[in-house]
Amino acid sequence: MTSRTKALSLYKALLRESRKFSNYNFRTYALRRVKDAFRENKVVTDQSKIGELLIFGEESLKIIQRQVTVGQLYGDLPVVLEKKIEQTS
Amino acid sequence: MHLYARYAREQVMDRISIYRKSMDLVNALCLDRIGSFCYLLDMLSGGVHSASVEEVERVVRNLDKEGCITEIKREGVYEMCEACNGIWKRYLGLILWRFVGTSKFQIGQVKFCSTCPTGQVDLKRMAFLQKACNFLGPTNSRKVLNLTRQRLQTGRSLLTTVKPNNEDDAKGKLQDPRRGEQLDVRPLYMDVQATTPVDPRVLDKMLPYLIGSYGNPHSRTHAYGWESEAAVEKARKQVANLIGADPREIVFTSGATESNNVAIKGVSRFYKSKKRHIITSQTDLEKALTPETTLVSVMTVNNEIGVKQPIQEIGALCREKKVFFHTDAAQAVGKVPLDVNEMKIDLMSISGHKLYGPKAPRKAQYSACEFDLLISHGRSDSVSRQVKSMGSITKGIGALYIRRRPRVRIEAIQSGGGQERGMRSGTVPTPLVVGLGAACQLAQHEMEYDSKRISKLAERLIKRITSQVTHVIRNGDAEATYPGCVNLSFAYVEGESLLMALKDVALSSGSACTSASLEPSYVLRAIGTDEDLAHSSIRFGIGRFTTEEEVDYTADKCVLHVTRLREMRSVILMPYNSSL
Repeated sequence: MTSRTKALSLYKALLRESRKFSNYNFRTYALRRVKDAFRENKVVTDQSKIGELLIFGEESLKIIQRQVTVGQLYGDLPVVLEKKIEQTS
Repeated sequence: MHLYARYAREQVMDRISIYRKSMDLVNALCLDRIGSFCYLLDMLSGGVHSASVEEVERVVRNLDKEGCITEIKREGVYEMCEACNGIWKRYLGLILWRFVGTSKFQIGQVKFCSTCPTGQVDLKRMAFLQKACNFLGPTNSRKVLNLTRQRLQTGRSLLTTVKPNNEDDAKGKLQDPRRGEQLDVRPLYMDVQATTPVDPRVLDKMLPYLIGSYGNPHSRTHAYGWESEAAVEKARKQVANLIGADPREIVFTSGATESNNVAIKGVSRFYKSKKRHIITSQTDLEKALTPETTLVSVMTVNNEIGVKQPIQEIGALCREKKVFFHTDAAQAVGKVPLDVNEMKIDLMSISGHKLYGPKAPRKAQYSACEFDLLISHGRSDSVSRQVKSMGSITKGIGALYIRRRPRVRIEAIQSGGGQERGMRSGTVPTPLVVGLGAACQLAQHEMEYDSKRISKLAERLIKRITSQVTHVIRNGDAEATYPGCVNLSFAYVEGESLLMALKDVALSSGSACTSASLEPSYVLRAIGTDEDLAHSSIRFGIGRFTTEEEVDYTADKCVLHVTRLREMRSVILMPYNSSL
């Protein structure tokens, strides 16, 4: 697998897991941060740097997976905004 | 007198006598009903923002069921008066609000309209209002006043009648103290200066030390201890890295409060035989310095208005005069770049729960700010009293940076097992320390990203508000301010009423420690803010997890309620002006 396909599948996995955060703020932050990080590092060409970033991304993925579970254990109320969006849609 | 005004006057007198009668009835009944009654007054007064006629009716009906409020219902207080387009309900409401809402403004006080757009104070009007309120009688009015104050201060419900049907339902649901009802949504959090949520990445690092790795970091004889010790030392390094210090210069404490105590009291005690003078305010520092001065202590970023102090200049001056320099950087660490060597800082207090780390208990927060307050007012006797009660607070997490070269010596405040090189005895709480370390490392990693985003959001908030309402004043210098703390004053609007109206946004008018008192912020008074404007200030906190939608929602709600509250004011004042 090339680093490009690796990065793409990692990106997709990160977004997929981030969407599972039950807390509104954590969810939106995770999605935003993942997107911004990939956008920022799109131009990186140095192979060793790419390797480092991929490892960092994989670790982040594990953190997100664990924290999503922790968040779901106790449940969380939706914030006012989410309720509003639900009502309008 | 203008015909309308006379009509109005009669109506108010009527209404108040009704209130008075029903108060007598209510008094004879239990507290819950008084609570409900207060709630009704609150609603009529616009304290609960969107009290629709239906909502008022519902409460009245409930009270009616108890047989204590038939009179009000019959007279139709809660209905809009067709003759004057609903002014009546509001007018009465405002009188009562003024009366019961805050102990500070008696109704007859000039303050009521000294800031009003029309400018002039109408003494006749004041006298009339005074008279109207006297109608309630001293006993009843005091009762209502006390209850309302109690509610304002404790946030505890006076309406205890609504109880959850089963306990499972109640779990994890927020209780609205004003209604005694369960909320199914969470308000937006815009108060990050009070405390920040724990970042999931921080929690992730902490959890193992709350589960399997529970060793005491000071145990030298087994692997549990070694493991924890390694984690603590790693965290120490992470904290040190963030502020450009050496790990050996970091001492873990229970929070910024304790750090401040250890720093200020520790230094002054150690050097008391030689020098006996401390400075805690930065105006004209050079003049204030005496040969007796041991320590200068300045907050890096103020928690109420977000103003950054010229730390580098103060540091250079202190170093030149050979005076130790302490800074409380609880609001600054991890948010603005800090380097203890570059800025010549000798002692620095750090708090975990302000940078997405683990939490300090409420008590500690309270004391932290009270301590600042007392210090800045120069009341040393109260400070020492305050400090005496401090030893018991050992939860939460913070750190103190103590410079080694040139060495700053301190006398330990707390005695015990001699942990942290004797400067702060007591077992170091590994999970919390790990959390603080992780939060610091994260802050270092994310500082640029976060600060860009926070500046953008702050700009968005200010723009959105100021483009829709006028007479909004930003407190604090706009240039030298940390952007995540936006303190705005809305002229002609009382901050307390606005906060109550904005119930689905978690905001505060100043620091969490003084939010129980109705006094205006001492910080705002200190920077010379007009008293009326100090009363109308709101602090918006923007942090790592704040979204654009939240900012927009907050701004829009704010605009809505400021406009509404201002309109209410002008509607009330108008008829009288036309009668003059």
